Order: sequence, then C-alpha cells, then structure tokens
Amino acid sequence: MTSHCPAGLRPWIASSGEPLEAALAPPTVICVEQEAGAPAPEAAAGIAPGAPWLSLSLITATAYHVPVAHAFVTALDTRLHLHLPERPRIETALHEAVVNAILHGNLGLPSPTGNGFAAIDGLERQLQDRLRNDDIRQRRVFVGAHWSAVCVSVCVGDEGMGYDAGAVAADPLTATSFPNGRGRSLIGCLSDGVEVVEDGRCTWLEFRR
Amino acid sequence: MDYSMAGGSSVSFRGRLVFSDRLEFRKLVDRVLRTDTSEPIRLDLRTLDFIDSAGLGMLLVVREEAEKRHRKVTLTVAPGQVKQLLELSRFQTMFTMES
Repeated sequence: MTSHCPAGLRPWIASSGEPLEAALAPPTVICVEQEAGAPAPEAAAGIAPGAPWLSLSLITATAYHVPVAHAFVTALDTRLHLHLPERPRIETALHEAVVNAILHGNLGLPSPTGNGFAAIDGLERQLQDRLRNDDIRQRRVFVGAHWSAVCVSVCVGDEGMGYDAGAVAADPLTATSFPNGRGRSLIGCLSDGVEVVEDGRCTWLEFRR
Repeated sequence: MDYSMAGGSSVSFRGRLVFSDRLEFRKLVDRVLRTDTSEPIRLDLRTLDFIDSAGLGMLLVVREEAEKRHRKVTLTVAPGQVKQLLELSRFQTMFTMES
C-alpha cells in the first residue's frame, strides 16, 4: 500500500480494519487517512526528512470514533520510551485537545447546556445533526509532535471557525455538572505550556521531560 | 467502556470511560436508577484505566440523577490516571470515595 508513497508517509484507510497504532508505528513519520477510493495522499511540505517528528491527519468522522490520543501516544512511546507519569499526562491532555478540536472546532458545537441526562441528550442531538453534514464530517483533525531529550511538544489542529482563546474562559476543574469546559482546565493543569495559535485552530502543548 | 453489574446498584468498570461512551453510560445509569431500592450506588473504578473530562462529567450526571431519587453514590478507586483526575477535580468533596 505504501510502495508508491514518499518515505515516511503512510496512508491509512479506516475501513481497512488495520489499527491506527499499526499505521503510526516506525518508520511512519506522517500518517494520513486516505478515504476509500481516493488517491494516495502526498507528503506535507516543511517537514525535514529524519527530523524527530510524527504527524497524523484524520477526517472528523473517523477521529470521532477512534481513540486518537491513545494511538498517537502509543506511537510516541515506541519512539521515546516515555516514563510512567509522563505517558498518562500526555495522553490525557492530548485526548482533551483532540475532543475539543472535534466538538468545538470542526463540528462547531458549543459546550452543552442543562444538567443530568438532559445535558447528554441535548449534546447528542446536536452532534448527530452535525455529523450528517458531509462537508463537516470530512473536515480534518491534525495531530503532530516533535521532541528532544528535554521536551515533547504536541499540536492539535482543526478546520473549524477558530475562537478567541483569550475571550473564552475554561470552566474550573471543580465544576459540578456535566456541561464543562473542564477539558481546557485539565489541559492547562497537565501540560507545562499551552499556546493557542492560528486564530484558535491549533493548540500546542508542551511537556518537559 | 466495559462493565459488570453486581446486584442492581453496583457497577465495576474496566478499560476507558470517555466521551464516546456517553450513550452506553447513560443507558447503564438509567438501568441502575430504575432499581427499586434506596441503596447507595457503588461505582467501582479500580480497573478503569483511563477517564477524560466527559467521563468525569458523566460521573456527575450519576450524582445529579441519584440525588433526585435521594440516593448516594460511592466511588471506589485505585492509584493511577483515574484517581489523579478525580482528585484534581476535587471529586472527594462531591462523592464518598473509597480505596
């Protein structure tokens, strides 16, 4: 499947049944979801061959169903041999960033309102409505990472409308109901640095080692 | 999300409790709440490997819905990612927590 692709570029077809972890295993540098029947993806520009880098691009409809952060951090672990406290910290923060990119970025959903079951049910109705829109479900979610002996930097990007990070307050971790921006608070708590760029469409997380 | 039930009010979770589990979790909680008892609801999270902010939110949904029925919720936890997030979110002030 990869013989006609540039070195390090790995197409992945979600419906193939191949686990995402397998597609991200070395020597993959760039893994791009290829929709069934679509031409093979081309290499992204700007990545130096051999650089300690790993990137992933999925469509929203797939990212919604696949444990993206788990697969990506497993791939990082294979390359970096993360130590025990480091791995769950990175996976948790990355997972929250990916869910935010899907829900609030590409699907454009606000935080749910209401309490109890009503909050879950309200969110579900909106979510299924957005996923029925082909243009929206095809939007891409991007995850990338580069690393050194002292730091791991991970970015999560989306193709949504963006947001003004300075104007949106994260709910506190101690919020007592289901609707939450608690994810943003968790990201801030678990990361050593957070930078939101590209008008809110890309978030960089830094983890010191 | 995997789980097993013991009696009508105790549930042991395994694996991951994350955003994508919300519908299955909602059905499970609905089933637990329908049991005709005033017993506390016991959620055993000791073999849960991973939870996210939506999973935390879902535990709060259990608490909210249980309170409407005058029932308490007890969480049993073991050291690891789940316990860390529960403590960061100060769940010990909202739930009875056991080790």
